[in-house]
Amino acid sequence: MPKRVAFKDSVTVDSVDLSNFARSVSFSSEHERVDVSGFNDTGSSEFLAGVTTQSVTVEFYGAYGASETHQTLYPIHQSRDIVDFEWMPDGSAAVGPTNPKLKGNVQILTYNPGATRGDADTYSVEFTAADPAGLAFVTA
Amino acid sequence: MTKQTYKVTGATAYRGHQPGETFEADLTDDEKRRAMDRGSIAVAKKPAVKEAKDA
Repeated sequence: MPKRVAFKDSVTVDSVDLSNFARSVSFSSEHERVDVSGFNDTGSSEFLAGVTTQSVTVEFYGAYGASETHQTLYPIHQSRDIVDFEWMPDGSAAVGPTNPKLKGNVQILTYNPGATRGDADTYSVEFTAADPAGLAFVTA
Repeated sequence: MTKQTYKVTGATAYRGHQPGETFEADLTDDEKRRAMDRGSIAVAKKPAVKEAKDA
């Protein structure tokens, strides 16, 4: 696989294509480290994978028009709705092993838009996995 | 649920359909509420079917 410059990424929230309003995506999937170490000669620790916490954080441009960033995201947060989320590296190509799609049902537990004088209006939104299926990459 | 025809009225694509396009879908009540409240879609009337005239 060649290296790539990210510019064709696709970000969809609640079936709304917000790609043009997003400028960065960061996925996190973490298994809790459960210490199951016992006494031993080497002093090494032993861990097992515990519960999994997953989220994806997207940095959006603030836009307040119909079906744009704010009007899409704020009602989801306000109503505590669970919605579908999708991100793929190349929105113009089919999903496949070289263009996997991250998808899952998510919630927006924290919503904190803001603005700074003279700067582009951007803010980050964390989408937290909301059901046992979690967030997963699919290739078909 | 029954399929209904919707028009994408917002500035962004919805379910892969571009602004101005119409599509049929089985949306849940919640999906429909959110999408219509934010202006993504509107219910579209199906084009009237003209009755064939007897020749």
